[in-house]
Amino acid sequence: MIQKPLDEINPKILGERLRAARRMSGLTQEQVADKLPYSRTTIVAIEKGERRVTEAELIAFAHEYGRSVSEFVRQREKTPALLPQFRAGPFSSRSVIRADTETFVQAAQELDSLAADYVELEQLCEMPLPMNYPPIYRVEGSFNRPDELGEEVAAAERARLGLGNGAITDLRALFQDAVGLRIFYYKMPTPIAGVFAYNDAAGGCIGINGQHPVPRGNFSLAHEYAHFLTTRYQADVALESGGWGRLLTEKFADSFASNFLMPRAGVNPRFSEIADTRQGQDNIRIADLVQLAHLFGVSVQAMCLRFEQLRRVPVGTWDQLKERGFRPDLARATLGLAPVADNRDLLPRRYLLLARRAYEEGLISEGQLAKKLRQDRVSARLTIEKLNGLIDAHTESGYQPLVVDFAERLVTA
Amino acid sequence: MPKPIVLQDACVLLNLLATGCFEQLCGALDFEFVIARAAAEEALFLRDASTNENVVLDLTELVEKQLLSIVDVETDEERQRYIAYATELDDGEAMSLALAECRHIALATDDRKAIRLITEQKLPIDIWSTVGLLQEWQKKRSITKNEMRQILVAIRDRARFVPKRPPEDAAWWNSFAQD
Repeated sequence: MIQKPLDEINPKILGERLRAARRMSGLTQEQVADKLPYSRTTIVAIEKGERRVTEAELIAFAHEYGRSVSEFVRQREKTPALLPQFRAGPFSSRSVIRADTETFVQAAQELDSLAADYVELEQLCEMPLPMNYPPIYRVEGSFNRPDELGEEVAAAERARLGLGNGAITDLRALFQDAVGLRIFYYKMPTPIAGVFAYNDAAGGCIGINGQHPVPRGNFSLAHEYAHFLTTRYQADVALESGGWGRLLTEKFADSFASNFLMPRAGVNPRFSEIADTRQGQDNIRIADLVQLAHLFGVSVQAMCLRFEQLRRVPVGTWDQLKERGFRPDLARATLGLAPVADNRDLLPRRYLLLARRAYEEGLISEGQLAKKLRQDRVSARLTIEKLNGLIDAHTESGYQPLVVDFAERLVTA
Repeated sequence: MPKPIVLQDACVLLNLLATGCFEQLCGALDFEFVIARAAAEEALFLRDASTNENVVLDLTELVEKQLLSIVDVETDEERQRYIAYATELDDGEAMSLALAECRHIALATDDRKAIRLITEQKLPIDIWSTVGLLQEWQKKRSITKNEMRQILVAIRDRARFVPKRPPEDAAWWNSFAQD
């Protein structure tokens, strides 16, 4: 353990952490100087790393900014450091998103913080995330035909992952387990659907608005995956439909999401099947659309627009349904469709298991566990208890290997 | 003669408050209970066993009744130790350890990492566990087995705590559950 951490931490790094915390708390240097017994010049010098902060000053700053002292003196530098990419991309001066729009910055910061905690748990447990990343799809110059490009990349990626043309039952699990992405669902302000950032240390990190319904979240997740596949080093903030205007990269990502979740070769035959069974009667019905959307784990709107795009229903069908007051939730209830499995937990299961292991082995304290789980202590204890229950249920009974006699005849002679 | 001081970490304080008998416990034990400011500032909750909802804890009443005092780092040495421990622990745990070390007072904690640090650093800190304090209470007052069982159930249900280690604490706890 470091005996005098303030002598050992680079004052520039500590100064940057203090500056970032002050800005996050919405205070200017003058305001801090008014509240604490330190002059503005002292605060400036500390934040620039020109003067070492004393213990008393650090404790006072942390208290004033509503932060933990431990955040400032942590030994590990936050590994992902995803924020610079947001500043260079979505929050740059040329962007439609302004970096001073606090809500956008918060969504990006939360992704940065969750990814940092995830990486730290992996380091503590010495269990790095297995990554099965494809090389970046080289698509420069092709964004001017976003619809075709989206279909091409989606088909290639489906083939790489061995998905065929069927529906994907759990998109989050697929991207987490088969690809090795870090995916988190959390509350974001309404216009944000998802955020994405990547660097070589953390890999692909995606945050999805946890307040959006599951099908909508799936579309946002596939949208962000498109950015991971093509423009990996550019962070992204996806806004609700229409929010990005006519940006070609966003149109491409939407096209990818649509084609990845509802591949032409998957939905077309199903549409034809339904249409064939209805021959001589009225064509495909709203109920069919709702059921197909349910099957493919997308919203009714997304499925309807997909069929419009594939010219299976007239363009403008969705707008008409909306004008007539169509309610997908009521339609699903009327049809008795089971609710879609909710995969919107804040943290991936692997993250929870790593946190459990680190805690059980005394690598993190209870306070640190609670912070990593974004819970109070007692809720964190309950989470660990539930995880232990799951693990104990397996180990108490022992695994029962299934013995199969492959020589056995299945059909008796 | 002043009572010996025991500094409670947040994890132990939660367990003792979950008993619903904190006042009786304080009355029976010859300790002056204190808690570090950083631990007291954490958002502390217990579960309502009937609704499974979290209930926020307000320590003000305990402080007013002089059952608990909140202490802060005051000297340069305490501040330095606090920051040193904060590189390894969360703030509440780090401040508790610093105060216990610098003021030579006992620390009540069940936290495995904190205990490991104390052992590794060979810190001269007496450690009390939740179970240790309950056993001491049992010694001072004639608490029946049935009463203690109810107390342990309250800790389990409201604070979601059941000791796993050290083995002797777990065995003592389980001896009430096995009847």
